[in-house]
Amino acid sequence: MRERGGLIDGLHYRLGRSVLIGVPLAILVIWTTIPIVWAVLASFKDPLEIYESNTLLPANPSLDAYKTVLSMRGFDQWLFNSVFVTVVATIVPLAISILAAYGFSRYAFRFRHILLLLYLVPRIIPRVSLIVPLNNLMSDLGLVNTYWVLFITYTASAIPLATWILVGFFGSIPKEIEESATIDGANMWNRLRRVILPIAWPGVVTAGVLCIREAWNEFAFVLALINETDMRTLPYQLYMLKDSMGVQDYAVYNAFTILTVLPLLIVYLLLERRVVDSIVSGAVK
Amino acid sequence: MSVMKASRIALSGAVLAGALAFGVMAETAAAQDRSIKVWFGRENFVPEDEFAAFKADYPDINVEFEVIRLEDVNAQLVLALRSGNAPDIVQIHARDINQLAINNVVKDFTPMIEEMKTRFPETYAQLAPLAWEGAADVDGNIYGLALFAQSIYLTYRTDWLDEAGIAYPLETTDRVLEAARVLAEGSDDRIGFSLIGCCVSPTWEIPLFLAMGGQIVDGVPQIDNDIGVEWITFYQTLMNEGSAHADTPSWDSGQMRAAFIGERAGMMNEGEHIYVEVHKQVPYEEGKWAFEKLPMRPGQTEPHVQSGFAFPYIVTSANEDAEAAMLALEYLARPEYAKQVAIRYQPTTNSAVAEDPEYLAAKPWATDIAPIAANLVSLPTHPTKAIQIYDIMEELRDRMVADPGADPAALAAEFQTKLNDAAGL
Repeated sequence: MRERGGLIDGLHYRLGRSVLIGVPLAILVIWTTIPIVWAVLASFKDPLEIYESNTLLPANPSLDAYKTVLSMRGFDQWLFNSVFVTVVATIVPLAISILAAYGFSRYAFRFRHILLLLYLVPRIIPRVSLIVPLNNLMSDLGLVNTYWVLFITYTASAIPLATWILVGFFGSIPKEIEESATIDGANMWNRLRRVILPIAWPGVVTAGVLCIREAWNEFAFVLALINETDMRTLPYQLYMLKDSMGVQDYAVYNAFTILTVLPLLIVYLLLERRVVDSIVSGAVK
Repeated sequence: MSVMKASRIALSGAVLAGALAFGVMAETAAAQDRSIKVWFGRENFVPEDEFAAFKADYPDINVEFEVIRLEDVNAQLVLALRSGNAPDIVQIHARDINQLAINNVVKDFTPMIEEMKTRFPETYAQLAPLAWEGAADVDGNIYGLALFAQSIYLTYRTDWLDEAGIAYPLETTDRVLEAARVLAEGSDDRIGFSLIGCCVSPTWEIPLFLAMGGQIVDGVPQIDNDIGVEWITFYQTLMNEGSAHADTPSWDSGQMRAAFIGERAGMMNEGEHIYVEVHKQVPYEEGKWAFEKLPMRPGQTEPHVQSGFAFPYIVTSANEDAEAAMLALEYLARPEYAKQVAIRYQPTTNSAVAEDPEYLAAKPWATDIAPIAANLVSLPTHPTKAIQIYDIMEELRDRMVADPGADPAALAAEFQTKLNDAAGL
């Protein structure tokens, strides 16, 4: 009887735990995925159907919106621009941030904490307020409408984020491991390359993913510093599709959104596995 | 032939070929030493041949063009001027001309328009007065060419009105309200009048204010009076009586239009360019929809004003080759190119297009709309605070739709103060 009672208590406990974890999780999943599902399904609808129908599923699914987007003059150029700028604005900030984070986490120099705090300033200032001075500066330098203006602004914006993430990861690595390497004759570069980076790899990947996301989705700078069609990125062109003077084709708008998000989603999925693998392998070691 | 002789011939040939290549390259470079850059406000304004005919006519002028949204063009123009890559010609909202002129962003093109008149009398003669009025400042200085302009018309489903036994044209606001109410009451899934509630400029509401006898003095709408109150009440009544959709406060122009095009709404105030979309869904020839000038107040003694607003091509202060800019404007104004845009999008001020058989076939309502559009009055705007005034009017539009129970007189007074403050009065 007591055993039975214990079994029931255990079932209740497990059920209660499942409900406590499962329900909020389900709400969160629905909350985050419904807009994406809506956008995907809307991209298969007829333009007028989106306005008229309250149902999620398209009445006559069609790939016309995707065909329209892919046949847009300049789509391949905008895609190239987004990829090119994102690759540069990920590799460069990561390289700089790894060195900066190593310095901040391993060397006790004066004003270290204040400097680290000052690193955050570009992130604290609202991006919109940076646009006018940046605009003036880049105009004076003759960099408006060039890839350089995007490299510089995107990199400058990503470095504080990546540095702060990596400082945390590097700081959590016991100094003893590095000291052992030093005894074995490793210089600073070798310690960073062969000891710190492999251990902190999940952090590097995380920082990289966030840099990719920042650069891929960036909108304010590209809008303010680029005005040539061939230099636009995908988010800029997505904004350009908004038309208050005609009937907004939300199917095309959503198809463009999905195609813009898709590469980022693939990168997320690919790198997420690497992050998990790195964490697991780190735990086994 | 000796080896020496052969090598001399080869060398001479190479030198000659090099000289020829250099000559060709130099000629090409010389041929391209004039250039013109144009910014269009929408992809739809770009001529189909993308200036191919222009380049054939003027091989020494290279043309580049970009599409920069009308909504963003002012900011982008300032940026481009600063960075030294500003266009020679830019398409803008007519309301912004004065502000751009005061800031020396645009170039007084009046002398070149005179030259166009002399050199291209045929094209010049085809252009309606609005082509120049829509591209001029308050002092009459012309900055370019308003080749496309539109107006807002009361648009309705005649078949639904017939069903409900309502005679049309409606002509006055009280009859419009009655018709909208009857249409909405007649069916659960019908919207009497499709309205905008947010997110876009008050381009649809200000013309109705003028049609109802409202005044815009020195660019400031005078709403704190009986006419202003009646204008506000019109929109509030549509909401209060359920003639407009309950979700209207969140509706932008797309939703408003889609309701009519999708045959869910019986009426809307809309520009002619949207009729292209309506016609695809409900062919005009079927006689199921029609339009008329915007309604007046019942018993209105003030003259009816059917206002229009243009999207002019303006020559910027960055332009150094005025002749090239004039030639580009003339090219854009040619009936064959103006017609392309007019067929798929905005009506043109080139009057020759209105008689073109292809145009008339594509827009079967053109002959019916011509008498109403013949006397369009340019929408008056404030010389320096047009954008701020439009923002306030947009806020008012949103309020009168979202809060139809508010006292219209109080709303009129509150927003008149805001308008006056914005204008520095």
